[in-house]
Amino acid sequence: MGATLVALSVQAAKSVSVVQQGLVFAQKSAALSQGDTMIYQNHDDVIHNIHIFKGDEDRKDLGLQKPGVPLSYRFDESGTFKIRCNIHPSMKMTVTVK
Amino acid sequence: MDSPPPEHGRRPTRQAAEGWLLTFALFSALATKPALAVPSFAIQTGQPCAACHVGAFGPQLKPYGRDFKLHGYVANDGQDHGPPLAATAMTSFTHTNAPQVGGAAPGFRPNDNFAVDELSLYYAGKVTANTGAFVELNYDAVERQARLGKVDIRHAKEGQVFEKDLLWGFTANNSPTVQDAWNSTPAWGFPYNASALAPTPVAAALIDGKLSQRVAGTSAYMLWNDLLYAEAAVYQGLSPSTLRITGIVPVEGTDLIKGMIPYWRFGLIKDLEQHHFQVGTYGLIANVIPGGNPSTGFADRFTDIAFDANYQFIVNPKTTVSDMLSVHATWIHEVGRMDASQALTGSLPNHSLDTMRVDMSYSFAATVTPSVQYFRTSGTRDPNYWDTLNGIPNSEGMIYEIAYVPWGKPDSPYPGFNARLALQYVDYLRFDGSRVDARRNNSIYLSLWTGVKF
Repeated sequence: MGATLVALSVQAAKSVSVVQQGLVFAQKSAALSQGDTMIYQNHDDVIHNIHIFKGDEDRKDLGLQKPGVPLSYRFDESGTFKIRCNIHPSMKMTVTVK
Repeated sequence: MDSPPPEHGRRPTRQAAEGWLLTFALFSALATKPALAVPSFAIQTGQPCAACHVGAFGPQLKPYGRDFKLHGYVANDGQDHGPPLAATAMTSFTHTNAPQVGGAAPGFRPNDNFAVDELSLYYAGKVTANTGAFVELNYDAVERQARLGKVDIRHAKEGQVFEKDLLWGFTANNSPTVQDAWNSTPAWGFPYNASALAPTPVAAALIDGKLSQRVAGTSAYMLWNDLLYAEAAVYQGLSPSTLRITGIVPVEGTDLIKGMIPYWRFGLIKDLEQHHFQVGTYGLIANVIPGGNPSTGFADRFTDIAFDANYQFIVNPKTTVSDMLSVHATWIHEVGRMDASQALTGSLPNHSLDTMRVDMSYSFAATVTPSVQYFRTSGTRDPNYWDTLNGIPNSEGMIYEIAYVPWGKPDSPYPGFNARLALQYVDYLRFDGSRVDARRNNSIYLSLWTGVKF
């Protein structure tokens, strides 16, 4: 029983891709576990930005993102995060990390 | 607005001035940091014109363009691009079916006129984190007058109400509907540029451009859940001395506003991936002193109630240069209680004026955009009020336009410079109450519009 619990707690962190296309995120929300990485794939023909907030707190601005260039962020902290593009104000999604 | 009488012997001076202005326009285009749509907005966001603008140049907005405006002109790429200063220049050729006796305007020939229509300077972009501005200074080279153009200064913030997104803000502006994000309302409606040297009908509702730059006001607006838009504003007429300072002339003999003007705007919006719908209403109530003559102690009271609708279809939302269909429509119903005009000129005590416009465009690859519009204005016959042959204010017609914009796309070889070449034909079926000679006023307008950022 104890061995099983240990095995669950060390399960590998995963990577989840989110596509940016048509000036929107392809999904409005995503659920991750602590340590998971989200990869943002810019499939548009214009520059984007990835800015991560937790509540009203500014967590990380990943900067500008050229077309075709992925950006990634590892969520090491639990909570609810808002992902936004500074250039396109209505481009946003929610990430819940447990 | 009446033009001053023709001045004789001024043509050489005018031609010299136009030559200088043309040189200035070309110099601006060549010597400054080039730009895109409203050039400094494009530089600020790092986006090509095509991200915000249908046809990749001009005021017609895509969903992101509306978004950018409603969020207060502050979205940006985080880089320092210097002050958001920009310039545009518009030059043109106008031909009318019949020559205009005395010249198309002071200093112009009766027909077939080349002109530098307008040179404009802009402060357009982010001011603080949540405040942005669009401020336009124009030099009207036809009327030879510098003036303050459109102004829209915004402060916008976001929140949540009933667990749904709420965007709210304030604007200070100088023309009802200049703050509007949809191209169905008058300030930014089709045609996006028009000849200053072709005849235009005399009748227009107050909200249909007659208050432009002659008032100042503030409004509060909100967009809830990307579904419901609501706005309320209050305007006040500018005093004659302020109008002179801002270059809004002539002042003498023109209407003045008495008291405050309440303005409202509501809309329902549905943005899907390819389809964008909007239906709404807007309007105002204003007291006007005709001719600025307060001797009667009365004012004419106008109530404008308007409805509008927009539809846009983006063929391929995955690219900013997608083909795009746009349809805009508005109907403005104006009723007037003409107390002052009745006392001054014996006009009828009650008036009505209805204006309808519907336009449709299809933009090919954000480069070639043909457009067509049907317009009609009809109202109360009153020879003591309307300055038309039979006292009837009715006009009706079509506008056909094709615009070509070579740049402003993500792969443009001149990513910082843009221009719009447009050929427009205005066909009147009725003009100022008359069908017989209406087509004498038809016009062909060829224009070149360029934009640069300083």
